[in-house]
Amino acid sequence: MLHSPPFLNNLKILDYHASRITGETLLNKMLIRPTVLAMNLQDYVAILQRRKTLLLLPFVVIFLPALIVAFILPPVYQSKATILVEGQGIPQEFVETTVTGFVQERVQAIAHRLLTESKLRQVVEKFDLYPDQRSPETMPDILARMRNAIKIEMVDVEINNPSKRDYRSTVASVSFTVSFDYKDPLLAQKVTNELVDLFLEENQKVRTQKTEEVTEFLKQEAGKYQQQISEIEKRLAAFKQANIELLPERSDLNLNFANQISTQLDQADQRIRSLEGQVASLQSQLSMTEPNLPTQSSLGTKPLLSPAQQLKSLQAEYIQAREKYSPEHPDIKRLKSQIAALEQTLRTNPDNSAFAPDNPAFISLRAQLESTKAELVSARQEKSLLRQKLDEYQERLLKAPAVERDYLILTRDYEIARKNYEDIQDKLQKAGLAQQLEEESMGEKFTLMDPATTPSSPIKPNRPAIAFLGFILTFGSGLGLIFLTEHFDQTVRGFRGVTAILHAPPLAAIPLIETPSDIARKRRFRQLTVMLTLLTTVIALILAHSFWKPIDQWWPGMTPENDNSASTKGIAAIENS
Amino acid sequence: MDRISKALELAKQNRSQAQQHYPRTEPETTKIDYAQVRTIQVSIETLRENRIISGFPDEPLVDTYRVLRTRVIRRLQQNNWKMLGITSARAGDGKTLTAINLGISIAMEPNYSVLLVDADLRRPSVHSFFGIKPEHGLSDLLTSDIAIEELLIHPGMERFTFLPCIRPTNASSELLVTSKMVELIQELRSRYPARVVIFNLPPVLVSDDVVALSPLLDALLLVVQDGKTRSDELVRVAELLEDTTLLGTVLNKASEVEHRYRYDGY
Repeated sequence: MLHSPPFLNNLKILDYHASRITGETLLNKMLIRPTVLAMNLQDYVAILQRRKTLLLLPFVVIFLPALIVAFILPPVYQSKATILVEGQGIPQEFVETTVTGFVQERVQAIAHRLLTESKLRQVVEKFDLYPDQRSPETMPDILARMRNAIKIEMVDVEINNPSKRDYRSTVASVSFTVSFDYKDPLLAQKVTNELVDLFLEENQKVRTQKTEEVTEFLKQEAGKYQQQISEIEKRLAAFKQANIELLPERSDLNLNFANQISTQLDQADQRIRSLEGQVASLQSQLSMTEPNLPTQSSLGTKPLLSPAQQLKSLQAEYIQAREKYSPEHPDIKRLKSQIAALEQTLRTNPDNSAFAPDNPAFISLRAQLESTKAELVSARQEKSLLRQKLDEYQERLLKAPAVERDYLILTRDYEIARKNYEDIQDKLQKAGLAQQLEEESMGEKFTLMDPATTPSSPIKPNRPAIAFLGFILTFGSGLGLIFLTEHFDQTVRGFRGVTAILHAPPLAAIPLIETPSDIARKRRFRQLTVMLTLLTTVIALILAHSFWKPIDQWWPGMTPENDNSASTKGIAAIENS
Repeated sequence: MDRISKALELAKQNRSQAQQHYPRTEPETTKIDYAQVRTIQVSIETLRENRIISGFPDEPLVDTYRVLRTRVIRRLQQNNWKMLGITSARAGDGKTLTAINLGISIAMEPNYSVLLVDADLRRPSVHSFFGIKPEHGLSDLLTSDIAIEELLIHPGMERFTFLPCIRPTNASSELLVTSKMVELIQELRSRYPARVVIFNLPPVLVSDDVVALSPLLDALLLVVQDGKTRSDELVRVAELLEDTTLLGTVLNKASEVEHRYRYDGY
């Protein structure tokens, strides 16, 4: 579309001719009038003028409704109270609180507890809020509305905390506001104050409850540990009892004993050896001693031999005789029968009572021998006892390390349990103090700093803002519409349009010529429009007045009676019943 | 374009024969004798109702036509043109009214007289602007033998006459290139040398009359309607008219702003 139609050669010729007359050079002309004209302010003004009717649509569709809305929206009043978060009365170093978390969290938590359905319902019924919309079906919506109408906001404040090391200021929540939006300013105030009361109450409850909970918890834990301790104590006692000799504290003793017994054992050994020696010597002595005293015999002073001795001598004789004589010899026979007789006697009379010894030396030796033998026996017995004992102690010593280990484990467990218990006891004491702190209201407190007042002017709606917004939207959409139509407009417009295509502006612009009847018609049309608008407005007002709300009730407070409208309604109801 | 060449041929021939067929009359003087022409007084109200304002000096919009007139006259002078055709892209662009107002405006110059020929044979309307309904018009002239003097009408303005067309015909292009037309143009050219002849032509995009007739004319004036003529239409018109001489364009029914702020130019 921007290609230069060939016929323009003619136009250029025209230009050239024209320039010859006026003295301008073609070059000048081309500089003055570029082929493609840029848009300037006049162009935009022209567009706006041309399309001003397009603004009508957004005006009617957006601006007028916005105005109406801004006008008729009922006002909403907000009543606000400020609650101060007072720090703990007693310094934290003395009594640490058990209530944790940032102030903000606590406030939110309490808010959640308050804004439950049941609590809100109570408030709604107490103050008869939203009287027109209340019904069992709409209650959830009402409560939702109320929840939205209640605002709890923290007031953040920068504070310099000199008690901390760094002197940078920190932001802390020192107070918060509770506000309620409602169409009646007085009720708004009442409800806000009610909410404040509930808040303070709830906070107190929460804090006391918290500390009680902590104390309870600690008590339980203490009990558990207590149980644990006694159990271990029992086990420890049993263990001790079972292993009493093997306990570590006995180990030294055991060692000493073992050593002692060892020495004793050696001594016993020695004694036994000596006793054995004694016995041997005594035996030999005894064997050399005649058991009987020599008696006077016909054969000389040959001592009387004991049968045993006789036997021996006879036997000796026999042997000698055998060497000499044959077994038939009468001496040998005689000897043989004597030997047999003695042997028989010895056999039937082993203890030789027939021949009881009467040699005192023999007797005493024999007695000594007997006693020494007895001593030896007892000494041997003693030795074996000692040996046994030593074995015992050695066994103990062997077992001791294992026992020691188990014992240590047990005692350690016991120590641990005890320590835990002590810890808990300590904490319990502190928690008890904190609880008392709360019960006596010395802990962190919420206090009412700024009670709610009756708002004098509504907080919503921001009528100028709504109207302004409507205006902006209208303007914006109007501009948008204008832009769109301009964009899709393919027609030739103005000098610029013609020049853009034909590369030369029109010779002249002839405006629209109005005939007298045109003018008259336009005037009539204007008059008609004005009348119609007035008529429509009046009709609309009348309709609104009769079908929706009477005009004097469009805003609360428009007429004086309106403040008591609720009470008059109530009185009327009572009178009617 | 066959007809055009044919017509040109014919024109050449006829020109050479013109001297024999038509007796030479005296050269035209500035004072026109309207004895041969019908004079019909048209009321001011009629003129105003039909938006013919060039005659009224008190009318504020007259200035715009004056500017147009001045520029058009200058170009006519520069090139010694006499036969000017006025056309537009489509019907309803206001070319007829422009032709009339321009014609009257030019006629107000003491040295000029104007003859407006209603050459829109399909929808002739010049006469209705004056509230006149003559019996015969151009179409009759081209189809039968009526003298031009019987058709001319002088509506009471100084030095301004017009030749109406009464009966519309669809055979306009054929008629417009007949020898009769060529003769007529030739006669108009030669008989009244001081006279500017303005031809009210049909729209370019409606028929090919303009293209057919333009070789017989000296120049064309294109009427563009502000905000109605489409860009593509204008381009098409430019294409169609590429072999013709375009005197210039007129922005008709221009919006207020255009009129008020756009009077730059040369």
